[in-house]
Amino acid sequence: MSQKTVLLVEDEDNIALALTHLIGRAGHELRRVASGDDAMTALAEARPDLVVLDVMLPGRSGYEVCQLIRRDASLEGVKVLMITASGGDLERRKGLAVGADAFMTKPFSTTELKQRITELLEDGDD
Amino acid sequence: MIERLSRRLGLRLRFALFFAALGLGGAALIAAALWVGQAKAGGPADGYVIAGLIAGLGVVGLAVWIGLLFDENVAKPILALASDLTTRARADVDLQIDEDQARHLAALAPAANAINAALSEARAARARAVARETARIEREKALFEALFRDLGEGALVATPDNRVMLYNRVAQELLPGIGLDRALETVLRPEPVTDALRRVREARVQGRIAAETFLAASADGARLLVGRVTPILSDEELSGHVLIFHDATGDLRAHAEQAHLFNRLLEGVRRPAGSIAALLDVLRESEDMDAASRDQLHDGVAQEVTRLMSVIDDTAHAQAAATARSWPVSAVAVSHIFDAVRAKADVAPECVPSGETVACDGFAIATLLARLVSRLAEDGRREVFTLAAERDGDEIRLVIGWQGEVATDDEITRWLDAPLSPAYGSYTGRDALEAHCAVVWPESAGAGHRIVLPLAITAEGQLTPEQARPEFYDFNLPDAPGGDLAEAPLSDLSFVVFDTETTGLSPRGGDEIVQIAGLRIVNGRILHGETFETLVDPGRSIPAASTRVHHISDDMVRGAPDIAEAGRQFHDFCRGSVLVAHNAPFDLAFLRLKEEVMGRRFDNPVLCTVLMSAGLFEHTGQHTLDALCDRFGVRIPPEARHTAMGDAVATAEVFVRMLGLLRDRAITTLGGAIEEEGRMTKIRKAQDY
Repeated sequence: MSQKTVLLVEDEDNIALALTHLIGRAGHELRRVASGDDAMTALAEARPDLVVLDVMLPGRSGYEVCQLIRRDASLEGVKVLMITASGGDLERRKGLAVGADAFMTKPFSTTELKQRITELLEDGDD
Repeated sequence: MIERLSRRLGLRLRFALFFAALGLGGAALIAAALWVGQAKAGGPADGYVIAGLIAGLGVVGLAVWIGLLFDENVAKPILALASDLTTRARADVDLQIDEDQARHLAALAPAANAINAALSEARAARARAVARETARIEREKALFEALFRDLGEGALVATPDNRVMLYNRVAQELLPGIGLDRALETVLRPEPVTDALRRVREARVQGRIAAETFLAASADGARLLVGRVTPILSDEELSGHVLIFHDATGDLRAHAEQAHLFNRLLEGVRRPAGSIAALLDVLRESEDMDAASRDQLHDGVAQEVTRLMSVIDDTAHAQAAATARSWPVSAVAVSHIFDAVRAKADVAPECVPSGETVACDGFAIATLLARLVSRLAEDGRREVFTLAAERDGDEIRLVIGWQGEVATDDEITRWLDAPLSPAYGSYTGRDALEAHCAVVWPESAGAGHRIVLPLAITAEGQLTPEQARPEFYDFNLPDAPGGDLAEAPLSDLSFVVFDTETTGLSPRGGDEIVQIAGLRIVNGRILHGETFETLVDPGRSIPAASTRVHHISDDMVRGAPDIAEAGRQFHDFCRGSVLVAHNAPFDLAFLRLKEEVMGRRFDNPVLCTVLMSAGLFEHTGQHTLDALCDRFGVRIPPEARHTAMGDAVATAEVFVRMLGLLRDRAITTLGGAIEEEGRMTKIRKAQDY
């Protein structure tokens, strides 16, 4: 299994700090951006295998970033894991409707997050 | 004398007598003249006699001939004309009067025709005016009926002695058991309302007419209602009062739930947060701690974090359940929403017809969709707009489709962030969505794009035409019968016509009721909207032979209330009414045997349509329900026959017609009707029904 790249789009520094360590330790290459617009730039620069995407972002929302990823043919097959702090069923439905592969609500356990990331990346290999 | 005679004798006879008198008088005069002539001049009498006979017969013949002509051309036409005029005066006949028959009466016939024409014209004008006025009243009535029925709040109009004259659909939902002519206290704890009414009265004495508010519980205590009561005054006289109310149970409960939830969250967060803070402090400050203690402290932090997360999770679930309930919405036809969108949007989208109904605020949703369509169309880069409704489980997805440029989620969110409508103040599309616990999202496939809005589907279907206008008001309720019911006029009583289905024919032999159905008659009207119908668990098996008759099987009554519960409910339904059934002694025997189990007594007056029929008609005839239906032209659909409700409806139809017959026989009181039955009791024993 070649090294996977993960793009973390998250504006909260502390959770980003934790996730950076977590994903790095799992052996994946990680880039972090803090806004939706930066995410679009980062996506244009290099195609990641997985985007961990917060919904509430400065600039473009996570929903829109996800929608744009799904409309971009060059980004086909990129996995999207959405995370949000406003945990309602509606957000989950909308996230999945605009094309997210998985959806997690804060607070979540890091074990669970690690497991999801692994699942999504392995799934991408098939 | 002549007047009296002429009144007694007909016109033609009088004419005949007149001409007879003329002829005979002439003949007598001639005879007298010849007699005098012969006496003065002398000569042979023969000549005089012959002359007299010729002249006399001539005069008489002339009188007869002219008399016959007169009869034919004057008397008969006058009579015919008179008859024509009388007919037209009494009945609505538009035909011209035949002038030819009265051609010898000069201008009389044309004059009569002129009157006739004027009369017809006046009648037609009056009929047109009546029709116009009736149509206007019907329109207004339909409008008010629709308004009242579909009012979002419960509405109820009561007589001054607190009986229900009108109620709407919401009132029926909030106060089950409500019915026309029912006492208010049977559905509502009346004290707060009477207290509000007292304040209204006091205010009126001081010259103020104002609504007073009240908070009252439903009679079963299940709901709390908040409302206003307003007096209805006509000519300074109190003719009733209007109660407008809504269910505050939900509001109060939701408020309590939210407060409870918030407290639970605060408490749940405070404890683990305190522990985590303390544990982290200790960890930071004790660098010289041994590894085992350090691990213990870390485990403690992890435990508290898990606890904190579960508190948040639990609260989130409880919150979702609480908010999902708290938004009142109504059932709106998707086609109405689409029509409104087409009317409001800058471009009218092509609509895919749909028969579904969704739970929403129709105006808000239509305005929101119209806003989206208008914004999408704004810059001309999108076209071929469509609107469709897609069923998905218990949801309906309203979908705006188009070709051309994509719309990003942020764009859509921006469009919805502006105030929705001047009617809603600063309320935005996002607020409207939140109020519906709904979201919209974009979807794309190639050049085709969609915006999807899922809404909950409503179970409540359209009313069938039969139910379309249940009787929910009667402004001419009779006064409440006071004192002796036997003396009460039949027309003032309310009746419950009912029927039961049973396991067999022998109440004392262990047979039981399996179904009860009844409906009310108030003020002579069958109230198809106020019915009682329940299956009853007989606590024993139903013989196959009985199932073949009423099609009620053991499976159907499983889980139904037992006779104690069903009987109490039915007893409540019958309160204050005369019970009517076809062969009432049979049905009542079943009910009365169970009075002890129910803890109620069926002491209502009872009328039996079999006995009434025997009293009203030849007691040799058939008095089966089918025979009575045939007699009165009442049609029961064959599939409804031998169902409790079908037979109860048929009995009610027969019964109201019998009430009419009793009235014709001047039997107007309940006592009279029961007496009429009593005469037939003996005969009943020999009857086959």
